Amino acid sequence: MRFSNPLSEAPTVLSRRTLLKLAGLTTGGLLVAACTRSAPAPSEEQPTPSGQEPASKPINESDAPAPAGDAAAEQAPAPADGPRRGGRLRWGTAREPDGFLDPALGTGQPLTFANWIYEPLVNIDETFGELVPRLAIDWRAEEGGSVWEFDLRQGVRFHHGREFVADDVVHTFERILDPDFGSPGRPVLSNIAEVSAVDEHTVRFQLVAANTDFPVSLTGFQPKIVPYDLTDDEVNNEPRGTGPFQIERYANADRIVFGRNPDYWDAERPYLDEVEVIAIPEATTLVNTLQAGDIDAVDAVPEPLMSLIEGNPDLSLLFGPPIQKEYIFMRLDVEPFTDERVRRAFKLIPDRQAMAELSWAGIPHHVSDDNPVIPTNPLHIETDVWQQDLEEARRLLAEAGYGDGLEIDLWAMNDQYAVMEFCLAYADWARQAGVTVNVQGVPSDRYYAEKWLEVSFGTVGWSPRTTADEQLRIAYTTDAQWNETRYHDADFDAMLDQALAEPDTERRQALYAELQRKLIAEGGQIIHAHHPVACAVRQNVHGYQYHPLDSVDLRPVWLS
Amino acid sequence: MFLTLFLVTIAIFGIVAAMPADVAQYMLGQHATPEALAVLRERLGLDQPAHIRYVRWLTGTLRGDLGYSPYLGGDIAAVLMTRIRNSLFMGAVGFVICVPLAIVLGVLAGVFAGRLVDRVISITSLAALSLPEFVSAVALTLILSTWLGWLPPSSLMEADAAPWEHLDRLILPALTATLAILAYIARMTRGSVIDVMNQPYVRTARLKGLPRRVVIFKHALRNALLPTITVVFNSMGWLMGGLVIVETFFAYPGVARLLLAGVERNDLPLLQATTLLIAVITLLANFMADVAYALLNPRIRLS
Repeated sequence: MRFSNPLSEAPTVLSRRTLLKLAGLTTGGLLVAACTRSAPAPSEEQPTPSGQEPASKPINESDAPAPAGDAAAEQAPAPADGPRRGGRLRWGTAREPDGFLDPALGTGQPLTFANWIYEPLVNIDETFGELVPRLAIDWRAEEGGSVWEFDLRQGVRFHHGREFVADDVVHTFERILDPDFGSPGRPVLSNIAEVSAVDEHTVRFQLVAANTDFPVSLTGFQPKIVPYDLTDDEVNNEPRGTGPFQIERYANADRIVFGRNPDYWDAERPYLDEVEVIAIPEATTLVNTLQAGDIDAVDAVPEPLMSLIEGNPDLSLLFGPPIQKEYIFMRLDVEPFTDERVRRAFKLIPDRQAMAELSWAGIPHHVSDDNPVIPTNPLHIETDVWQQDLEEARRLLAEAGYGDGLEIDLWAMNDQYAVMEFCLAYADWARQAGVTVNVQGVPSDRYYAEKWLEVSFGTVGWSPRTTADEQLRIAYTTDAQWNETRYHDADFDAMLDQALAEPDTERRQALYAELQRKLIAEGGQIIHAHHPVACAVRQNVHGYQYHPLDSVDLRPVWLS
Repeated sequence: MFLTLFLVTIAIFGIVAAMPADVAQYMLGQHATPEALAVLRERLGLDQPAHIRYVRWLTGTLRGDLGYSPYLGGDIAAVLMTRIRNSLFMGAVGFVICVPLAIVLGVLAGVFAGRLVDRVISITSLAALSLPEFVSAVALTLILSTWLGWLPPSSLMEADAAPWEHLDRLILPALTATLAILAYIARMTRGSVIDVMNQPYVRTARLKGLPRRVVIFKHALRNALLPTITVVFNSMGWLMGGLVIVETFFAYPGVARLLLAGVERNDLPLLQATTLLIAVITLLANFMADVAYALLNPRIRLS
């Protein structure tokens, strides 16, 4: 769903580059390089499920297995007397909003707010396990998945009073697909050949190629329904959607006040009367302000600050599902990794369990077996292929002609939590197998700009993708732009296409399992863990849950 | 001064124009088509040669029209005035706290030069002087807010709210911004107090039996404070530079945070306007320093 560089999703408060630019511009200024640890990259926008939503649907409309058990996201405890209406939530974020509220044009933080104003047809839950109906109440595939029909919710009104109809959906998608409009949502949705209104409350998507995951692609950032009677300028500057909140005041971009939509289609929710967005760029100050009680919730808490919240009885630290990852990778098309024995040796070097514990102690993580598919995805398989075996690694390396030792640079992002630590641990084990690993730390922005796709042995962080297909396609297919490992395998590519178009659930599951097994055995990725992002709220905030795409769905949130 | 200002506008415009950033690209996002970009560039006047854009920007600025900022989603001038007011107010609060404190400390250290009081003040001020703002910000927050709970940890307030109604929220950032200046002024004052105390006229005053208090306050201090006042005015320019970190750290809605937002988002009109304004303030502060020095020092007379 997102294709921005992983780097762009990690907001740094004062990045090196920013400071360099500043230093050249501030007259008579004294600038000291402040390197603030970047907050974990929470994503943008996509509403969450809620207990009161109509029945949710598994992705693929199949009896997909339940999401992994350890993935249960934490939710703020709720008192027994149930939700209360009213109040103002002061929502703190380190990411300063900018002037963009048009969902079709946005890529970052503003989409969180666009999401409170505009709604998609379909949401995905915070584990990326199930689809949740929003403006569409039901959908079905026809012609083997190359035509999709959506039944729209009736009796929904835009903030300016007009009823929501199929023409709004058609308008929304035509806008995104218009090449002159330049929506970042276009590449993902370019599989749509035509959108048409079957009647007032039914829309039909004709696809170029069959896609069993199609409804998931509607949960992305951009396809939020905008009314057809608004101009592009109005969509951005005087936004009017169907969402639970509308903008009351937009003050100089560092403070936005949202008011409850009195005509929202869910009569009971949202519970909050008002939401005030408060931007505090420095994460430490943000958390301090939460402790002082000047704000009620923080959208994302950087790992080093988690202990501050855990020790405070007035605050709750809420973990999302374990779907983020940072890991080591080898580039398979360069020496020494062109030799299959060296690859195997390098995959036998780390103790993934110990590495995960080192990185994420105290944070509910999921130990991985080099599987890039997130553990909460219904198609994820558990395997046990790679165990630490230093003797075998040493033997393989000797066989490959490196019996006298091997020296290699491992490039790491030195400003990302735990990355340097797990790289050094890897280097330690590697030495025992006769490999000298020199860990080279580089700040993230420079790393992603200059090193990431160049180095033969490096690290990377990926934000979660909503489907197994996207996760595998974006980094492991032959023509993938971000294929950091240069895993090029024609069979893999063909099987991935086949799996995406496969309508039969069991065959489809078997195909994805085979794809994962193949990649775990052959790929250059050494993934030791998937971990969550955490947000924090004060004790009087209930029903709050972190969502990887949306930050949060505020509809179930209430104050006591 | 006007020549300097003119050169500054050329420098700002030149640097910003030389930056690889593109406002149109920022407004449309990375997936914008070349056609859409071309249309927007034309609308924004970006297709014109640099010297024409410069003249346009300069004349606009002189008329008080600072241009349109995509980040703010509106005209820059109105927002900038509120922000600069906030920043100046915070600076003023800082000076009101720091300057008298610095002078007292400096005089104390100077009068008791070499004694324990002097040692403590000198070493502390040297430490404060060497601390960059982002370290002193954390340290002061930890002590005054987290441990003692006297002050709120951030300067949360609405940008157009009156900052004087939230004085408690201003003290931490104001202290952080002026801490180094406090230390600097204290050290300056100490130095000149020691210097003046060794002058023959002070020795004479003491020898003729005047009480120590009278010697210090009536005779020594007047001369000793002369360089200090120049330093106070000169520090204003320095303060503007430190504000970027302080305002960002404490989330204070001032002009430097706007500058940072402009840099991060490649919002060039905003960047130009804020940089120019900070340059103007720095120049004015230096100008005032010269004037004040001339007025106070009888040896300099403006012809």
